[in-house]
Formats: sequence, structure tokens, C-alpha cells
Amino acid sequence: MMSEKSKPRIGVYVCHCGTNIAATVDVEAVAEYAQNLPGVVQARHYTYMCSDPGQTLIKEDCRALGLNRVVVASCSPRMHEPTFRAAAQEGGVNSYRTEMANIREQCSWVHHDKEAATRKAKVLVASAVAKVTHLEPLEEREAGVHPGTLVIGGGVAGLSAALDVAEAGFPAYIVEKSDRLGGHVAELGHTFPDLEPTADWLAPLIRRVEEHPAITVMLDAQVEEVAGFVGNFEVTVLQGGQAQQIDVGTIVIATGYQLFDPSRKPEFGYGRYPGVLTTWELEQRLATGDLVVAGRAPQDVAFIKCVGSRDIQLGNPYCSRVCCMVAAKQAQMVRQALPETRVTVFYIDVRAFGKRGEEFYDEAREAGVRYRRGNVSEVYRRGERLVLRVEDTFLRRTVEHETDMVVLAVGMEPRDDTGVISALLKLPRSADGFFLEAHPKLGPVDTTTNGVFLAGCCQAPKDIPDTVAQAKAAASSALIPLIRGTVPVISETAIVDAELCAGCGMCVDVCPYGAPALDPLWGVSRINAVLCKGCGACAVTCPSKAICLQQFTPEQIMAQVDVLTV
Amino acid sequence: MSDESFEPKIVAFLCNWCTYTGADLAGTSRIQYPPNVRIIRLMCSGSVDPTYVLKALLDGADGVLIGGCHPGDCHYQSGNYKARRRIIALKEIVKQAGLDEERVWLRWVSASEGQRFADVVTQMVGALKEKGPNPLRQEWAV
Amino acid sequence: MMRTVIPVENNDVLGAARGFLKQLLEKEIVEAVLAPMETPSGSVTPALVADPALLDAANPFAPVMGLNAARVVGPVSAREPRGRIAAVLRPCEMRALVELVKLQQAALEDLVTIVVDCPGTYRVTDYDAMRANGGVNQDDLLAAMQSGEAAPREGYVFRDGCQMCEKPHAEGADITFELFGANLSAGIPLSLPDELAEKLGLAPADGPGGRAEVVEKVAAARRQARDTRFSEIRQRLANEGIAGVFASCIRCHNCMTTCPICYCKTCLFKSPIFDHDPAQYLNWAQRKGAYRLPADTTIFHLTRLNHMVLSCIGCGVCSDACPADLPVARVFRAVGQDLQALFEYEPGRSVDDPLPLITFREDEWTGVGEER
Repeated sequence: MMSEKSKPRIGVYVCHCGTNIAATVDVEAVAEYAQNLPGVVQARHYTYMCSDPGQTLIKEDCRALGLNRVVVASCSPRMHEPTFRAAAQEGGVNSYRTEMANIREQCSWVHHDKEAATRKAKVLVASAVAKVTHLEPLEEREAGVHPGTLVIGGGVAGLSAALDVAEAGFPAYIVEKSDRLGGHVAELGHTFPDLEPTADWLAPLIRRVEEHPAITVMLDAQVEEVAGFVGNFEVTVLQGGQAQQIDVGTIVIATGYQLFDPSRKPEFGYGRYPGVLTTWELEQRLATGDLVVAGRAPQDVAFIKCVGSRDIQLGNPYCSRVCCMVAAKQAQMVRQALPETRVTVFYIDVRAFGKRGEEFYDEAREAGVRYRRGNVSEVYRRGERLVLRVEDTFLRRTVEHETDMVVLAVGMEPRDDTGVISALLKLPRSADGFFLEAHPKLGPVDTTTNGVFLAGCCQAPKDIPDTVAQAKAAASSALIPLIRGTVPVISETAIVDAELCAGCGMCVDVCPYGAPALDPLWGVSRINAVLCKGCGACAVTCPSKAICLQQFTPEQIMAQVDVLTV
Repeated sequence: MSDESFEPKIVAFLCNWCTYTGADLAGTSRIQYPPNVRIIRLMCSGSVDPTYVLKALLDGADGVLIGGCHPGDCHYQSGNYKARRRIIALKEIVKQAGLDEERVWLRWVSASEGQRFADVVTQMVGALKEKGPNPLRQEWAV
Repeated sequence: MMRTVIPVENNDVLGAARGFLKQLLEKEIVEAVLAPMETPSGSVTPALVADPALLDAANPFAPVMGLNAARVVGPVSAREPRGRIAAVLRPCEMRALVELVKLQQAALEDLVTIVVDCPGTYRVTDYDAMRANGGVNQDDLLAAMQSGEAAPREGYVFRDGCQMCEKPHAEGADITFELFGANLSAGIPLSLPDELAEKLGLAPADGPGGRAEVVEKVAAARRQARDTRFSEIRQRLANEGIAGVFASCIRCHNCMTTCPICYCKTCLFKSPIFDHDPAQYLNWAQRKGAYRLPADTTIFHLTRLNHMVLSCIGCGVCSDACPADLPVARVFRAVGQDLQALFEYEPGRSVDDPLPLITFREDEWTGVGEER
């Protein structure tokens, strides 16, 4: 039974989200329906609830109508729950007495039938109203932060992120699997779009990192275990058979990529014909100046692009984003080294985006590199030479192209050990196998695990400027908790009603975090709220419901079930 | 039994980190699926209390879907393993009690499997249409 | 463990057993004995006995079971400080105790468990009726332990739980009274730890032998009776559903109150979670046209199954306690049989077997949830 004081006075706010919701859901009808739900004092609809005027609407209603609970029917709570919790709080309503009905991601965007979608939206709003009726106010809680960031991976992304963290005055720890810093980039002689020698900029970067007093570099090392949560990660690093623990507040993942192995495309003859090499191998040849094939300088060099990328059959539907520019770079360098040699690039499209990308492509053509649109279906040997069978997509016929050297512009793939890191940090991966960012637009460096950020090609293929930009973004996000010195910890923890607890200890057995313990004096369970992550395993296990997970109590859930089964 | 006009009502208990996010991804990807599923967000499949599932069935839900992270992917380390045991036990009890355990589905759907979420809902709606309405919806003596 | 035989004089089996219990107190092996006691009015109830003289009223063979004594072992053993106690139990009570130990509702540390082979027991009402009308056939039952053909007095039946009990023999205890296969007028065979035997001045002696065969004979007959009941109740559940089988439940909670495994201080179904607003009942009535009252009976039984059936040790007191005479034990045992097999869990076997729902293996049921 509810006291008069906590008697629900609920405001319901239905968002149009422009036309994102309103085009499929009759928002006016939903608001009208909500107005008649038990406890609802005011129901409104508005174009953008998350906008300033939308939030003001909520705040003003809270004060003017004496609301004590707020329901917002809009996008996923994973999107805007913090926004509306804050708005309610400013209106004088405890932020934990807000509930969202997800009528966009889980309704208007997935159903065409307006009538059915509107019906569903009403039910979802009723469910949120039923739940909010039973919500209790909670206090905000905070925990301290270990000042420091762990950077996994010592390539360009990891170096850049670590340097920014250190420059901001916090310790950074680079854990690198190999025996040196610099990653893949250290093996590139030159970089596009200006043919600048890589060492000119990479060597100083590595030196700054190595010499920085706030940076600890651990080579031949790997992360063995990660415990804790944002602000309080306890990381076990294995180096030379020795395990050591590093306490950090945040983690940047910069584990990079691996190159596509072209032997998975046997039609290109890689590994069978010595004249077929990858862009990676050509990079090394260009560095040493050794371009000899079959005992002589090649008279003709052909590049094949999109090897291992944009290939649905292979399971790599994505573009690796750098191969076009790598081919343009190397084609120019071959022309410089061997001005008599004919150089042809076979392409599906040329993707010359980004700053100076198109200009660089133009420079390649000005340098005499020939671009020919066509799909190469096969490479085979004819005498001393190699032949490409090409489907020329302009001429719409199959042609042959004789050459001496075939260069496969290989793309990027997620590293084989992505799964290991993913398991360590509970990070989801996208369908292509790279790490999944929290939001493609709003959270491109965030992950679903608070305090863990992504930098560089572990998230998706990208070039060096984009990698460094993302690394710096990840560093600045990773710095936020370190600078604040505290992190908010969940308020939605499990609590024990000692009157009901029989002390069976099953909660102790099921908790992965050691949060509950039996009080030796009273024989009842006590939960250490600092350790509780709010998973609710203990609450389900407790047969008398002496333990409840706040914000997800049986009353709340069963009230929702009740409404949803009507 | 199959009634063309019958639209099954499915109550779905989805874990916040995987399946609920997967359902959101189906939305952001605009993958269409039938509107018969009504989602309750929980933090973990390991916090789906069998009593909730029983209540939904007894109240007349035509189907109950429990969604969690794939084995090994639980945000809370092992919640989905606990859920797996619990739901297997529950389904056995439901079956033995003369109720229809095939109305209870446990499925792992990750945050990146928007299409799988849509597929699961579509399949479930199809299977429930085959079955027809939950007889308990009309039964007052439960 | 040592096997020995307690001498029986003048055919007084009960007297010999009482003498043994007294020895436990007199030799200060324990500070009290928890045993079934005959009250001055002739009823039988468990009591914690500290005065050896009062053990003249103890009756470890009384063929009556009103409650599962594991329920009363908990309060006297669970937490320190506690005394050193011996508890006289039936096999089903020992099994319940094992489950309660796992649930931390009882502790074995300062407990000497004494379990007695059980020929079967009467309901309290039948026992009292028999006492008033010609007496209880306790001596006949003890005599029939030798052949395993103990039968209830004519016109009476054993408790339904006993009729389908396939584990009537004592095991897993500190001290076991091995009555099956024994000519008790010649002595009571028992097993006990060497150290205890030494303190009691008991020398090793071989019993009559053949106990295992007699136990198996009894168990086989019980299994048959059990399986008949199980197939009958499964049929009913399939036809009527659990709501049909429990249609006349008045939700008195007696089954839960007497269940030795239901250890909650306050049952979920007595908590505010199931204390609905008046308007809610009306809402439900309007939804389905009518709404059965008392409410939530079916979900109560289903949830209780869910909470405890893996630990159901089959004592059957739930059925005895039901004022509506519902086949609670048959339902719970039948469902329990399937679930226990599914999780390869035998409740009451050992305190070392983990409770199935608080444990898991990563590599089990790997296909579940992955269906495409």
C-alpha cells in the first residue's frame, strides 16, 4: 500500500523524434491513451523530447504539477536515459523514478504497420507507467579512481593515446605483445599522401613515448586478466613469465589489425608464382630497392586492388580504406624507381577520400600510372611472364594483361586474438569481427564497457591520420574519469531485507563479485554495495526475495508483465 | 490449430547488454519484424526469475522469450550459464505441470545480431501462430 | 565404522534402543538427544532430551510421522554456540537434513545422527485412532523387519509418502540402526564409528546378514507402488494441468509450512509482493471474466516446485498436511524425479553434492539458446 506522500503522480512524454517515431506511431493517440493510465497526471507529445525545449517541458511540469515520476516514450534508454534522468532531477523528481518506453528502436523503426505500431507503443508506455509506479528513489553514488590508463598495443594508435594521457599528467602503461613499438606502421618505408619517409615522424614519436617519465612501456607482454570496473580496473600483465598487477582507471584498446592472407584467394597465384607479391612485401622491396623479378627488372607491374576486402564470399564485405592509397603510393614509387616500366592498377572503384586523397591519386596518374577498371578473375603463367585475366567493366569484355609483377593490395582483418581481448573485457564485436563501438556516431571510441575505449584499426580499418585522431579521442575520453577523480557507480544495487533473510548463503555462491556475505553474528546476508554490479543473480536465487535488485524488483517486473499480457 | 487473425502476444525478458542492444540494433538497421513482442529490459538473463515467466504464462501470454548473451559473453561473467540451468529446469517443470513448455524460448542474441533478433521474433511468432492462443488466457481458475 | 549388535532382553527391543540412547547421555558423548518421545497423553513428538531418565519415553520405532524432524534439527544445530546433540531420524529425515545443511539451515559439526531403518509410518490421525482402538502394531512391524513384509494394521494404511518410498533404509548417518533382515529379539544390529563404539564399550559383532536383500525387496515393491502413482498423476497433470489437479487448493500453505526443504523465513507468497491492491483483483476479474480466489494458487505451487523440487527428498508430509487432501507429494515427487534426473542430482545423498541451481558448467547444454 502506498502512502499519500508517495502516491504516484506521473508525467508521460511521448517523443515524435522528428518523424522517426511520428511517421509510424500515432504519437497523439499514444499520449491520449497514456493520459488515462492509473497515476498519470499529465501526458504530452512533442517533436524532440531530448531537445532543450523538450527537457524544459518535463522540468516545468514536474514543478508545476508536483510530479513524482516521469515516463519518456522515445528512443532506447541506452541512448537518452541519462538525459531524461537529469531533466527529472532538475524538476525535483528523483532521477531513478524515471522510466523510458523504447518506441523508436523497438517499435517505430522495426514495424511498418502504423496501426500495429501504435498499439504496441501504447502497451510499451503502459508497461513503463506500471514500472515507474513501483520505482523507489535512489541516491547517486561515486567511487574513487586509480589514476592511470592501460593502453593495450604499442602501434601508432597506442603510442598516440599513451602520449596524450601522459601529457595530461597521468601515468600510462603500454602493453605490447611484440618486442618493439610502432606496430605495422614501423614496417612501412613511406606513407601516403605525400611519400614522406615513415621514420621521419614515427621515430620521434616512439622516442617521446620511451623517454616520457609518465609512460611505462612493457614489451613482450600481454594482458592476462582484467578485474574491476571503470575507475578501478585491476589488470594482470604477463611479461617474461612474470605476472604483475597494474591498477588503472581506464583502458584504451589499440590492438590493431592483421593483413589479409592472399593464399585464401588461390586464383591470384600467391605463393605459387614468385612474381605475385602483396603490397606489404613490395613495401619492403621498395625500401631495399630490389624490384628484380625472375632475374630482371620488371617491364610491367600490375596492381590488383580489394584483395580480401569488399568480398562477400570471403566474409569481408567491408572496404579496408587504405589499399587504394597504398597502391597509388607504391605505383608512383615503382615509376620513380623504374621510369621505363609500365604500371597498371586494376580497380573496382578508386576511393581517394580524405585530405589530399584525390590529389594524391591525380599525382599517381600524372606520374604515368595507368588505372584500368576491371575485376581480375585469375592470374596464370605464360612462359616467363604472368597473365591477368580481367573483366574490363568499361568495355564489358574479358581481356588479358601480360605482366612481370603482380601486386596484391591486401586489406585488413580483425586480429586472430581479438576474441581473447573481447573475452577479457566483455566487449562485443561487430559482424565483421572488429570491436564494436558503443554507438557508430555518438560513441565511436566508446565501448559497452564503461571506461574501456577503442583506438585505431581494432575498431575498423583506417589510415594513419584517422587512427591518430581516434587515439587522441580515446585518450581524452579515458582522461575524463582520471581528471574528475571519481566515477559514478551504479545505484541500482541489490539490497537485503534482513527480516526476510534465512541465511542460506546461496546469494554468496552465485555472486561473481563477492558482494554478498553472511553476517557471522546474525547469520543473514549483507551486500557490499561497492562490489555489487547490479546483475541480479542473487535476487533470482533468493527464494523469499529477501534480496531484491533495486530498479528491477519483483513488484516492478510483475507489474510490467501484468500490463504486457493484456 | 491455426487462426489467421490470431496475433500472439510475446513477453520478452532481455538482458541489457546483449539481446536488448541487439533489438536496438535491429531498430537502427531498420530490420522489420512482427510487432507481437513486448520487451522488458533486465540487466542480465541471469536475473530472469522463473516466477516472472510463470506469471506471464498463467496471465495468458502466448509466448515468453528470454534473451541473453551467447555463452562466454555475459557482461556479468556467468549470468547466462545460470539462466540456462534455471530456464531448462523451469521448462521441465512447466512441461511436467501440463503446461506448454514450447511457449518458452531461451535464445542467445548478441549486441551485434540485430538480424538474429528479428529472425528469432519472426520464427517465434510463426511457431505460436501454429500453436494458437495460450488456453490459459481464457481460464479464470488458475 | 564398526558393526555391532545391541543385546535385546526379554524381547524388549524398544527397551534396548532406549538403553542405547541413555548411554549416549550417561557417557557424556552428547549433551542431549533429539528423539521421538511419547507424551503423557500417548502422542508422539520430537523432543530434545537432556535428562537420561526421561528417555524411558523415547520411541525411535514409533510408526508415526507428523512432521519431518529435519525441520527441528535445524534450530538446535545451525549456529554456534550450540550443544553436542544426537538426533534420532528416519531415512527421509536424514535426507532432508543433508539438504538443509547445504542450505545452511542446519549443521552437522556437533551433531551425532542416528538413523533407523523404517518399515513405514502412519498419519498422526490414523496413529491416534489406532491407539484409541486396539493399539498400534509396533511390535508386529518390528518383527516383520526380518522378512521385509511389514504391513499396516488391518483397516489402516501407511502414509502415501511411505507407500512410495524406495529408500526406507538408514544410510549416510553416524549411527545406523539396521533393522531390515534382523531378528530383533536376538539384538539390534547397528553401525557406528569405532571411536564411539569404544566410548560406549561396544565390541564388534556381525549382524544376521541379508539386510541388503531385504531392503531391495522392500524398495522394489515401493518402486512399483511409486511408479503406478507417478504414471497416474502424470496422466492427470497432462489432462487437467496443474491448475486442475490443485483446483481445490485453499492456499493454506500447509504443504510449504511442513515441507522440510522450504526453509524461507517468510514465503514469497506471504510477502507484500503477492499482496495485491483491491483494484488489481477487479482488474483481473474483468480481464478473464472471473478470477479464482484465493489468488495465485497455481503460481504458488509452480514456484514452490521451482524453488525446492530438486531437493525434494520424498517424505510426503506435504500431502498429510493438506486439508483438501490434494496429491501434493505425488506431484512433487513425480516432477522431482524428472528434474533430479535431468540435473543428475540425488537430494539427500551427500552434503558434498552442490545444489544444482547455484552451480553451472560452461560446457553443458551448449546448443540451448543457439537455435537458428
